Amino acid sequence: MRDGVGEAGVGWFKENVVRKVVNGANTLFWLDPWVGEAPLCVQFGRLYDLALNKSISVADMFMLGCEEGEEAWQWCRRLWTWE
Amino acid sequence: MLGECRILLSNISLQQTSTDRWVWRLDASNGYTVSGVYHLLTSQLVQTTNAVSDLIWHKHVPLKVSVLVWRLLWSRFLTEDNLFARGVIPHGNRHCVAGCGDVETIQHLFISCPFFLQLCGVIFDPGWGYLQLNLFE
Repeated sequence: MRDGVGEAGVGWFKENVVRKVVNGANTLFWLDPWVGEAPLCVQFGRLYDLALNKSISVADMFMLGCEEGEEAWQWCRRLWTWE
Repeated sequence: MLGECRILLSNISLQQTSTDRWVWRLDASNGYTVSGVYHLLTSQLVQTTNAVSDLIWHKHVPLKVSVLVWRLLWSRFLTEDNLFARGVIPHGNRHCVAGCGDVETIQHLFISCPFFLQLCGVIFDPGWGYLQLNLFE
């Protein structure tokens, strides 16, 4: 029998739990698994590395208009055009 | 990358009707059950390791070799990284026992460590094998 610790420190439990976002207040935008197959810090590791506020909530990101505006995305340097 | 990320977000709209909650992906309606997880783990284990375990636990393989390989596959060695992950040793004390400076992992000890690679070179030296073959003939 396997325990919760897998090869990369990710086990069967963590892989099978997702966050169902309704108001987004108690979900971490980068760190919680809530959209897509993995947390955004894994899906977009480069963006996560550059993000200034790594523990911002989903609600705060949407309040700042992450879908369209630039204000929500605060980086530690300017992004390259391809980033 | 930011563009792709935004595309993911474009389908999402937040609602103030209730708060976020955790969902068990395998059974979203009933949630986590011990029997469901038991089924998941036992069926996966059979799929992924049957072929391998037939090889490992073969009657012609000495028991100590089987145990060693089994522990290798499941990462059950007291390497420094495992000891650290289990809270046995403090951070910053995870370097290879051979003193090469890298973090001591199973992958490192058995595959990439320059020190133990040399040791393998001695053990599996073709000349040595030739000598053994001749002895047994």
